[in-house]
Amino acid sequence: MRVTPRWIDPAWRKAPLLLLRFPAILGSVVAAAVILGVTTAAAPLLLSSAANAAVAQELDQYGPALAGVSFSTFGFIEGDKFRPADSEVLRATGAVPEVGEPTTMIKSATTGIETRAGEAQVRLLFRTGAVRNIDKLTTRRGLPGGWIARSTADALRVGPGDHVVLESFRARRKIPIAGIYRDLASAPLSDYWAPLTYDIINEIPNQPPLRPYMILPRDQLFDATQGMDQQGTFSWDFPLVDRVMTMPQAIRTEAAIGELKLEASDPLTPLGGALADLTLYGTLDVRTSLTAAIASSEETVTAVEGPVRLISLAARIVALVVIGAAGIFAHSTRRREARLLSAQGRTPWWQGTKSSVEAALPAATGGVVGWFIAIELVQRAGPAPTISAGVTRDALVEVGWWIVAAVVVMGFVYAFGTHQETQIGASRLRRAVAKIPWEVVVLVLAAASFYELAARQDPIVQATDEPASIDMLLLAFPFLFLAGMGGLVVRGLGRLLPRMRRGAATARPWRYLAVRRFAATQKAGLLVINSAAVAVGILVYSGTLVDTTATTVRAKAHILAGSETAVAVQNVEDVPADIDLDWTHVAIGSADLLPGEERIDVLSLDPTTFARGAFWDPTFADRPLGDLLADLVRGGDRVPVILAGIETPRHSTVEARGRHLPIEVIETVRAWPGMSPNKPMMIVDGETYTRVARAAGATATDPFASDQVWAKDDPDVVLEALEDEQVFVQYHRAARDVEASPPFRSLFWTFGFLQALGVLAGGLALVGVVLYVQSRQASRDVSYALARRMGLSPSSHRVAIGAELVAILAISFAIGAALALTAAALVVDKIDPLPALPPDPLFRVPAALVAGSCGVLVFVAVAGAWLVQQRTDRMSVAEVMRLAT
Amino acid sequence: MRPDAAETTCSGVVKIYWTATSEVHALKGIDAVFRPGAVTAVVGPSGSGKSTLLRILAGLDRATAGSVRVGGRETSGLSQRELHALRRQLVGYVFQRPADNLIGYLTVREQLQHAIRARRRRDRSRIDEVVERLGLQHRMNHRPHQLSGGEQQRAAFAQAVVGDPLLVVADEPTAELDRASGTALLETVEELARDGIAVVMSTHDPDVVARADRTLLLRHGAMEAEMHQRRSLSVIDEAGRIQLPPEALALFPGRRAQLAFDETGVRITPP
Repeated sequence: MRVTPRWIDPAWRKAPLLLLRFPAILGSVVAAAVILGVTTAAAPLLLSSAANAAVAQELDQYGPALAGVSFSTFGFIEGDKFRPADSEVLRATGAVPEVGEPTTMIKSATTGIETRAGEAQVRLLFRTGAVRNIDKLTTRRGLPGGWIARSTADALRVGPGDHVVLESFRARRKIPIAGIYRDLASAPLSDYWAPLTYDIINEIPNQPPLRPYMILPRDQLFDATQGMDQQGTFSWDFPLVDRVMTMPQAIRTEAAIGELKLEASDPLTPLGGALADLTLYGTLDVRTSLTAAIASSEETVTAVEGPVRLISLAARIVALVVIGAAGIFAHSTRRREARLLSAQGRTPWWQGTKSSVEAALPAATGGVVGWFIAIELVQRAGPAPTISAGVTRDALVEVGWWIVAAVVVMGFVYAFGTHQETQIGASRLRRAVAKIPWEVVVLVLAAASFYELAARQDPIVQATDEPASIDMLLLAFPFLFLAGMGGLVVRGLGRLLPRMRRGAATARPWRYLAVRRFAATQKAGLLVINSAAVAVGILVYSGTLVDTTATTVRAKAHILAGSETAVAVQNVEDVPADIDLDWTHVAIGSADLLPGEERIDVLSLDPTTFARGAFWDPTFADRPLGDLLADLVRGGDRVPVILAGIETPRHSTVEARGRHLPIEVIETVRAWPGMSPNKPMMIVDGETYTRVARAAGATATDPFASDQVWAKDDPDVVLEALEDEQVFVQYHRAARDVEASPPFRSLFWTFGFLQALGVLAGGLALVGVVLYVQSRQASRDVSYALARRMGLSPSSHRVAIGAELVAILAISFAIGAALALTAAALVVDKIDPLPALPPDPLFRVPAALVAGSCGVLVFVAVAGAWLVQQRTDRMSVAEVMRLAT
Repeated sequence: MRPDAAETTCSGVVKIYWTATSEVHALKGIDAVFRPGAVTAVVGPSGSGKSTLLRILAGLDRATAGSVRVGGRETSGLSQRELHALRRQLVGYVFQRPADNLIGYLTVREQLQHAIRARRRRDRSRIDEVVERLGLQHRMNHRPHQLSGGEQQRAAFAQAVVGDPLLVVADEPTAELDRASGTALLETVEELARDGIAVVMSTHDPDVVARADRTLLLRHGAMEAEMHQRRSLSVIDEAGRIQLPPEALALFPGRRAQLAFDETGVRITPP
């Protein structure tokens, strides 16, 4: 009777842990699973991290106060109306998550205060914590009353303990002075005052600062304005508790704020009613920057998501191919067992299923390790260290599904290998299909991708006002090109092998052995070269894109800012010449280029200091900067000018400062620091320009020009130095801030992700070589045993192994790197994140990456040769020969 | 003799291998019967078709033409899946190299459990019986690399016969064994065959031929003779062809013969 026994077949019982007996197969499965785990988990983790980083950067831009929720309204400053509203706002906002204690502000309209010595215009202000956040200059302990700015105190000639008088047509109040503080507009604003920037600093160039505040305690402010019908604004700014907020937290908070807004706008609710009593003219406004921050962050994530998912998918497919290669390797290692099982009637699918079971645990382990690595990588090197709750768990589940797919692929490949070997009569169709050069098919796809890229009118990377979006073909093209062209080159290399073999017939023993050994497994060796070439190619291609984009974006950012830091100052004469900065002074005004009246920027510079303080890249112009600057200083009736972004006849005219000024174009350049997108620039020597303008009857200075200090120093250093010299700063711009702005950050994140996977691909190349070395070990032992009998020395054998490995790696590297650079050169002109702003993409070869990879590969070759020789030396020649017969 | 035992037969078996430029006729119409309980040796020079015949018998290959029946079941029309099932349930196969016959990570006991599990037999007591007869009791918990070549080949036969297959096919099983081990193995094989298994072995070993119940001599893909009970009989195939031994062929340099019939038989003489 044939029945199914109840006990388990030992072959199945041992399957789950069986690969422990096959370390090389185990290693390849685990390595491939790790890569699969990393690439699968990295995409959602990176996207979460990117979303959180984008939110954090956006919130950082707004500052903690603006990033939360703000109520503002306008009405009479009366305590009786304010207090109920204040109480309701606090109650209702208590239900919103992630917001902290509010900063409450009551600010009057501009009002006059006076002393016997004079009058001054101020705005009465109560703001929670204001007194703690001013730079106190003079006070006396325990004095009650208000704080006035130094400029106000100077005008009124008062000090602590004195009184000022606040008077309206209905009442007159004396307010004691508690102290004097430094004018807020005279120094960079702290985070506390940042939300009031536009209320403190007059952004219009060369205009006086806005009216300073007289800071009072809340009740004293109500007492001072009692009965005066004083109007003012009221606001409650609820900051975020934690500036590092995840996207889901931000969305939850924003939703709660939305409900709060509805409640506030409904006068039938307690909150809405209390605010309505306080509000005049319907001026109630409930704002949050979270909405804009979330929208901008989502745009960034959307821009990143497509490419990241595509790269991740490509990497997962590569990892599955590696798993498949591990299956082939497993089958070739256990061919004898497969043949025996087949003779015993075990079908290829039975064996494949068993192979899947064997691979399940190692693959799962590798997947989990990969998942951990992905978390670590994203937390350490990703856009932000925070990953939203639930994403890591979802990523693990996704990894799990891909591991299941990997295990199935492993089993399928093993089964297919067994089937191919044991099948009875291969079909002619299959043999015919095997002869088709697959590389041609892939190359046709690559050519189609490139044609699409080349034919497009729009840049394939765009970052105008929105986060950069990357054309998918930019990523698909190199994969196809590398795989197809690499395959063809390697196929051609295979044709050369017979000639190499003949050439090595009379060569030294190590060379003869290396060539013969490689030629003996031509198929496997060439497959390793092809795979390694593709992996190296991806690494070099991604490195080239990252370096090229980084260099280009950096140049564009510096073009926009002019230097590392550009600071608009109210009066450039306040900056001492010996200030401890690498700086120069420029003035940016405007003019119309005649006869077309095209509006252009005019950059007036100081040729003696410009090179010291401004950013410069030799690719901007055909002549050295020094020569250009020297030519700007010239006598005559015409202003020598350099034009950027526009061409005009050598002798032309501009209309500036109300007059026509003759100019002589001494050079037209591709780019110049300080340029704005889509706006040409004329560069002049400030003194020459002024001289010619005066001669033409124009004003000596351009009233609308912005005086700027450009410095090749960190913005913090520059601002601190200017503050020490009491230079009034209007605003500043830093190149690094431009680089981190939304249009560029998605680009860096995407290419960074590509490069991280490129490094993994490089790792794959090494795994492939290790597998190759391992798979050849048995035959190597036999050939070594035979060769030793014929007098081969161990050192010659070691050199032969080293030569074989170095040749494989060097050929792979040369093919991969050359093809990658070719692919990058083909698309580089299209990678312009901001085409409206020069310079054009600056192609950069990642020299450090290439050199480092070379070093690693040579190390692996040498170490591999040494390890193989060690293992070969330990073998028993007699045992090897017995097993080999 | 097993009550359900049935013969394995091949009739007019032809096997042609095609290459890119030519075809090789490996077998040219083989007729043979392999009876349960009998050990059959297949001999012949290299390239005579021994291994091809064995592979076809074992269901590892298909005949180009002709019929092969194992246990009464015609195999020539079976699908791959059915051939696997046939091998799993009815046929045991022993490769030439001892190491090829055992799974490296299973002990001898596990190899036998694996084999009996494949044949869907519930009774594991048969394992003990076979092991005892093969003298492997003390090696049951050893893995293949811990066994000698002779022990490996005995274990291979053990896993081939557990589960009571109808046919055991062995490709030169003693080729890599020393004389003593080979002799011991053959004694065991003879004994196992007595249980009703048809054993077919290809060999160059005179000892195997001497111990076999019957010997089939192949030459150039055709059956030249069948030796049974010390008698050598030429084989006449279904088309009436008979293959002359080389020494007889030398008498016919023109490759033409004259046949003369009488009441005792046929006389073949040069013309």
